[in-house]
Amino acid sequence: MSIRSENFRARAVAALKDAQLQQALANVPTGFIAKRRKAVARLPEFAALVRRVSAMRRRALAALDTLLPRFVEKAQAAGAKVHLAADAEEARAIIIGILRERGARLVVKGKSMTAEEIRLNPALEAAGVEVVETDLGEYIIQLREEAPSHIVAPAIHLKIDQIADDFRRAHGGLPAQRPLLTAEALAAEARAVLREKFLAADAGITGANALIAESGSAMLVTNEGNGDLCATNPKLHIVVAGVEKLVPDWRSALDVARVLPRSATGQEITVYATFHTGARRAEEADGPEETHIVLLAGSRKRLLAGPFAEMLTCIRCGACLNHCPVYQLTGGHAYGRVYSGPMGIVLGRAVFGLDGGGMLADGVEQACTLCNRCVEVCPAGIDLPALIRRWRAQAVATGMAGALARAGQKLHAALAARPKWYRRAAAAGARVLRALRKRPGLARRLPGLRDWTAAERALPKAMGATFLERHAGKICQSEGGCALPAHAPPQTGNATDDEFLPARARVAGVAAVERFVAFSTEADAPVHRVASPEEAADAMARVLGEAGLERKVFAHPALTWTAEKPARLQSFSPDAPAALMPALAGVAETGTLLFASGPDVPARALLLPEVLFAWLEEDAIVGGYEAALRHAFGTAFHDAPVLPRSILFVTGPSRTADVEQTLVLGAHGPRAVHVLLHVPPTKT
Amino acid sequence: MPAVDVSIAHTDTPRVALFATCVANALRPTVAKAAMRLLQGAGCTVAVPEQSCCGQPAFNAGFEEEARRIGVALLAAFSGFDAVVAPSASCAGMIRNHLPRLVALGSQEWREAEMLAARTFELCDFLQRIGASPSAGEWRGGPVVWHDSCASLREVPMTDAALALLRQVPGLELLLPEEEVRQTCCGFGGLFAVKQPELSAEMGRRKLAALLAAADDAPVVVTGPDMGCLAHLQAVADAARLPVRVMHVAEILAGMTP
Repeated sequence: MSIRSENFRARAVAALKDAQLQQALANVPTGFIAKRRKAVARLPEFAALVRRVSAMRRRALAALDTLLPRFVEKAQAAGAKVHLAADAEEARAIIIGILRERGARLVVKGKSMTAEEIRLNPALEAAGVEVVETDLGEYIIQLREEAPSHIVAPAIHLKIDQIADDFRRAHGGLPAQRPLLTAEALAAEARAVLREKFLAADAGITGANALIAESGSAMLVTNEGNGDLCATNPKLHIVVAGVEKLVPDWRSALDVARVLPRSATGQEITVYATFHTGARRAEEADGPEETHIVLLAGSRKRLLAGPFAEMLTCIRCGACLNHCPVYQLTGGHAYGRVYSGPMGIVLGRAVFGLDGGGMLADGVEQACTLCNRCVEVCPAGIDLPALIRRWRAQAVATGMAGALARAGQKLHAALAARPKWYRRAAAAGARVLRALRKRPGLARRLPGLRDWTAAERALPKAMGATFLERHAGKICQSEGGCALPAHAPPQTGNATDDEFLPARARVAGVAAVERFVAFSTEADAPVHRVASPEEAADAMARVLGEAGLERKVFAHPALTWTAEKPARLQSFSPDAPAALMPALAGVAETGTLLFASGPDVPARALLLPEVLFAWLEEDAIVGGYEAALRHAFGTAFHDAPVLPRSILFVTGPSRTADVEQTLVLGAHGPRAVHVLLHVPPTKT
Repeated sequence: MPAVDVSIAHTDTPRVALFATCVANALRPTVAKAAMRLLQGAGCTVAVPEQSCCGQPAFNAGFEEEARRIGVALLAAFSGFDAVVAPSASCAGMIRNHLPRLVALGSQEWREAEMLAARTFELCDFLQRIGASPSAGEWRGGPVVWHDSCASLREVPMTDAALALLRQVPGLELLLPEEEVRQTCCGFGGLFAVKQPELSAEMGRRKLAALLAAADDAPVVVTGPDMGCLAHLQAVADAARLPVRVMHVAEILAGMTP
């Protein structure tokens, strides 16, 4: 597909003619849109939640000058080093400097659109650093040396056979008979190759979905588990993000975690919603010795001061791409930037600048029918069509609209300002149009009609006479009399309810336990009720046996059993087949487990084993994420002097849908998660 | 029908101005005629003042100064009426949602624009609000598939009103495409149709295929609230020789035939 053309229209035509791309794109409406619709229908409070997130994002941007210093102070107090970069170039230089100073040669990367935006990979490679993308979709496009075609699903433009070819080319020595034509096979192959990279990497680079000012934490929402492996396994972790990701507090971040997955993939929550604060604590079992947070600050603040500031409230869910009738036909590459779809039209030009590649000159601001569907699904409530119109106005103001368009618009306005002339011009036009039906060859040479008929479209059928030449200036009395409606209906209000939490997050007690069990099971994390660690050992032995895995478990020292059924591993090693870790709380809202890194809980033990067993006390099951954090860390946890380095909300086993939107469990993290729900015998 | 000059008309009943809209006026005058009949049938005194355009082609193309100029002319054309009714969700939406933001906040023009916005209605929405019924007799045009315009879904929600009115037409078999088809743009998009003709026509073809599927590929009448979408769909259907005839919802409600 020719994506290098100077002109959006030419790129779009090429995309329409690309049969393989069209097949790949055919999955979009049935996939993302249907899933989002279902998820929204399941949460009655979704619209209210969106209003709250939208309002919160606007307030946060308005308060950036107070949130940023607070974030920097808190993050540094927790052991991170924060760097404020003026622009993309400086951000790249800072990151290269950090890596050079530590002699880092191999970097694993989590998916980050900000890193794509600042073109980090080519810069790192030029500096002699090997960079490996670890998100399956990003890994695929890295092999192909392509840009992402979607901000959430970077390889959505590809069919499985193309990906299999890329794997055979890149992974030398793959036996020819080894089948690679299922999403499972491709994910397994990537898992095996990338596991080595995770373990050997000198540094991990990730983005952030939110930066929490009150505690200096970075939130990351992912499904594969690769982002958290990048953030916890290498001894150096670098976060790269724009300052617009700042939110005031945990509650705001959790609201983002609620709306983002539902909007993006229709998931109730991503498998991992994790919070990394500073670097490894001295007493913790693992974690990076150093964390650096590199923030795009200067260039973002300039955007914030301009007419496209609203775009900075975007939380990068991709819903506007999925629902866009233009994106559905062209895919992302036609937009000519790493950002595509409606948000890409607005943000692409804003971040890359007028001189950065002719965003206006390529006509991409015309890639929109103004159908308004994107506004309807945007979880930040961004009026994307209004911002796209604003770019068109800038194109007009900077003389890029074209002489013919300009003359046509001026003539039209001059006539429209004089209704009698307009009436006559319209009447003449209608007659010409009617006459032209007999001269289609001539019509095809006239501006306007030439374009109308350019793509297998007949001339519009004009009846010949116009309505106004007969009726203008007339009034028709009626026999009866009609009562007028008082007023046009008011536009829908947007009052926000600050006390809002979804009803399903407000349950407690038995109801919470029931909900938790139902949602956890739905998220592919079966729940086993056990009365003691002995019973848990039985359950673990059974699960491992059925999975054909060695019966060896790395377990938290507080969880002991006597029998040898599963053998106990004394220390954690990355090839441990299973781990048994205590969950600090269970969340009824989505069947989610809360974990935190600690002296006896290596974050890696939650991510690397084939099977994760979660020990969960029944009375630790609460309604929502907020209640889980209060239960685990106390009410003032966000002001605690030292938070655990990694706090993880985990919902089911690691997963990916980066190959043709086909769901595969066990991308990089555990292939299975089992909840061992401890119900004390007195209660049964 | 009794017709007198607007300037000398005196009446105690509310005066409704018909905004014919450019596309209907030039391509399909029967749409505006149908709207007039329906309004009269509902007991309204209907005036057709000298008028031009809502300014949307300029506004959407980024020609803000031109859009403002057209908008100011619109304010003059429709001053002094109790309601303005347009057989188009798109044009009504321009006046309702965008025109007041084109003129300086707090200015006299802004006050007028806000007042015009508050008393401008899409035709079906207006008819339903005043409790009017369609004047059509028995429908003999075969299956009718409903085509939502994006404006009817998201600028001036009026689909429910239109469907309720269509269901009152005796003998009319109304087919609704599935939700995702209804929500997806047909590719007209005003000047989009000539700026991106290939995308526009392809979106139209896909839309038509889905609309025809709703009628099991039998010949159909496609109806909707916006003549722009419908003219585009007809042009695409004609080029592809698809068994589709478009009719504006007003034409059906007023008893016209395909």
